[in-house]
Amino acid sequence: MVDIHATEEEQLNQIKTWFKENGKYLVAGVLLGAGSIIGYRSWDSYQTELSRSASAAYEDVRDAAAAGNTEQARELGSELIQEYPSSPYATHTALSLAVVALDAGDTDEAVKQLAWVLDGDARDSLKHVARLRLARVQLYSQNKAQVAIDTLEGHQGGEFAPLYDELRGDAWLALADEVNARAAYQAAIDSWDPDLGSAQLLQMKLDDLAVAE
Amino acid sequence: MLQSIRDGIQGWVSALIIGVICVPFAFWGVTSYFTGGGEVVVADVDGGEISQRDFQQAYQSRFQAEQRRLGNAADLIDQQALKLQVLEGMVSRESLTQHVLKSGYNISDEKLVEALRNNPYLQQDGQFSQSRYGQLLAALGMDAATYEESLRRSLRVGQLQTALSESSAVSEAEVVRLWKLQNQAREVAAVTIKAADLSAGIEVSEEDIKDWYEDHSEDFYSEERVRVNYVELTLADLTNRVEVSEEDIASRYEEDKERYVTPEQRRARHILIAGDGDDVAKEKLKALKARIEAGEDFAELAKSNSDDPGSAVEGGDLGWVGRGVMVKPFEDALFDLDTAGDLSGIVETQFGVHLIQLDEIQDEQGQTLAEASAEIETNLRNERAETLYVDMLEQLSELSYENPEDLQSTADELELNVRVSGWFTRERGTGVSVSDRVRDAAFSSTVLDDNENSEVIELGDERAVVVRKLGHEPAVQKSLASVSDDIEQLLKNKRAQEQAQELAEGLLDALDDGTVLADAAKEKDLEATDLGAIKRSSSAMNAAAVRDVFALPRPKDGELEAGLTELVNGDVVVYQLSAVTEADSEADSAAAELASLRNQLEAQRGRAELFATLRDIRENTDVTLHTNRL
Repeated sequence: MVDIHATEEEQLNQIKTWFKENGKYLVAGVLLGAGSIIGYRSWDSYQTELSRSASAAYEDVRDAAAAGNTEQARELGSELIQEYPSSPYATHTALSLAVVALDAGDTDEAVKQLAWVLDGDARDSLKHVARLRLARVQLYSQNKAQVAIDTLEGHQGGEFAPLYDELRGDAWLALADEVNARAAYQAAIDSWDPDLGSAQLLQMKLDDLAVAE
Repeated sequence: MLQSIRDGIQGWVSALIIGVICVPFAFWGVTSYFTGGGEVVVADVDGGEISQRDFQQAYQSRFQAEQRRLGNAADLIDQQALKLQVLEGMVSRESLTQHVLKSGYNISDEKLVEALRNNPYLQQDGQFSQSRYGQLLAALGMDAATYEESLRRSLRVGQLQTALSESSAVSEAEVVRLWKLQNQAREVAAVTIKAADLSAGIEVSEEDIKDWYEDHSEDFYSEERVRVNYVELTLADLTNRVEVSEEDIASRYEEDKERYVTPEQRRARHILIAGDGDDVAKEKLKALKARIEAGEDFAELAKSNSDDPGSAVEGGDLGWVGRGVMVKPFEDALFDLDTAGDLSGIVETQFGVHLIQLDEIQDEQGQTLAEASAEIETNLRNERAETLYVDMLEQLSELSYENPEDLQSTADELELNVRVSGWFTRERGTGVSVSDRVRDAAFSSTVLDDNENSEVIELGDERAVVVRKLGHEPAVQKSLASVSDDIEQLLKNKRAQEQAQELAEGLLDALDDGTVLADAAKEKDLEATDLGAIKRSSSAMNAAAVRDVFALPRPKDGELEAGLTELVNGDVVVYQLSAVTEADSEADSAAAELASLRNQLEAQRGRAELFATLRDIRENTDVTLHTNRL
């Protein structure tokens, strides 16, 4: 570009020439940069707007559910899920609608809502919660212990492991398989973290399956 | 190489590079402007930073809480471990914050406004007060936008938490199963073999005592102990040494006036005609003023005519306002009004023209100089005593070091007393020797062997001592005669426990063939008690034994199960289980218990799921710790 040994005038000329050759690209570069900033900013504020309205819609579902307006909660809820399917509020709405359905005795609907969370793109931690709840509905509300075991099958659960194991124990016991139930309860106790709450009830379940040594 | 890069930077390549370079530059300065930049960071949590300053603040308050909790044992605090614990707590919270920020959680404007309006701290007379909000922002050193953004953050964290715990459910079948387990009853007979009863019949020979004494000679040493002279410097003593004059108190009162006095506040309504305040607007406002003077309601007219949307719906009400909140012409006009109900003239501001009505005046409130005097004096005394303390601490250190062979001269110089401690050992002490730092110093070679003064030992809470050896007793072997009784009792207890254990095991063996406990016990001159059907909460037997009974296998038809439990006092309980009865969940009395168990389970499940979720989020967050900066 610029030869440092040249005189000032020559340098000026060199710069002018360079600009003549490359000026349009320089302008294009600046425009590209500015364009991406403006693009990013407006995308960002659009996302913010979207998440705020999803949040407000979710609060409406909650209010309706808390007030016992089952029909309204369902209506608002399915609208939300349709409009913002990949928002965490869609996940939370499905979790809430599952409880609404359970309270109304509609276990199939509860299963449908929880299964939707598992099939969707919710965060893993929320999927764990949904999977545990789904298996509990299958076991306790539908009396399908084997289906509950299949739901949990293949999932270690990470931080949720003790909760998975306790539920597996419950399911095996419902199938009268005391050996597997005992092993599952024992695994749950071994990995129990006191921050999860008291393990007293869990210990009680295990003790009740004692066998002579 | 450089030349070839230069040659290359032409055409579309250069456009692309310049474009890419523009992007970070556009954000760089902006971010550091918002975060304050240049702060030392102790942890980077997926882009969220925990500053050293915030960490120190959290750590100090936690450390002080631990000190208060532990009292004299505060020296035992492992500071490094506590630091890591505090940091982990902050990292977990920040992980959660970053998680909600990045996964599309947000708070709508309505919710934000609702949270602000419902914050009791921002209310005056049960209503949101703009001036309180202003005070809060000033105290936090934030502008409204920054504060509202941080409020949004904490609200969405709360939203995630409630969303999870509210949607957690426990089914009826599960409650019933657990209730049945909890209320299960077991038919039990039991016998307690008391070690104390057996020890009466046990003889221990002189020979046995001597053997034990020789085999365990290391157990029979007296502990080495010392007593010390010490000089103690405390802030509390110094508060009486400093002088505080009436003038000092008066001048502090003036300096800190806003702490003691809340300035006058006024509650007002206004009607705004927006615009540049032309004659049309003024005429309109004058007409409104005339209507109010003729008896129409200000609030009603504000509702239908004011261009200030926030206050119009409230009938023009602005809440409580102090000086320095509103624009100058508005403030002057408001504070010129004399009594409640008065109307202002036409007030021009940059927003347009206003008509103001004064609703209420709250006079300057607070403490007079005389009322605040005692508090100010205490504060001043403490401040000055602290300065004096630092000064004297340095002198104490110098003097006691320069005069190592006595403590009296140091004490005289500082007008302190030389005090005398009681005897204490390396492990335990009373009074000044409760602190392990004092005990360590007293047993150090400087003090113990060289007979010199210790260094200054700072005990926290502005308290420091220097100690000097006064007496020393080395550890000595106790004589057999002096410990003979102790050893005899110890051996008796030991043997009694062994016998109780043997007896219990023999009894248990005798039950193997299905013999009933009462009969087997009679064989051995013991008496079993039939406890009937006991529950988990039963106090008919020691709690540890009850727990073990409920962990016995269920007896098969017509058979019996048995076991034993050793208690901490050496007694042994032998029990036999004949039947297990399930409780009837259909019974009327069960309904209330079932309901309360259901609530308990729901709370417990909500907590467990929430905790596991938070852990999961924390574990899956990208965290860099700088523990060397703690």
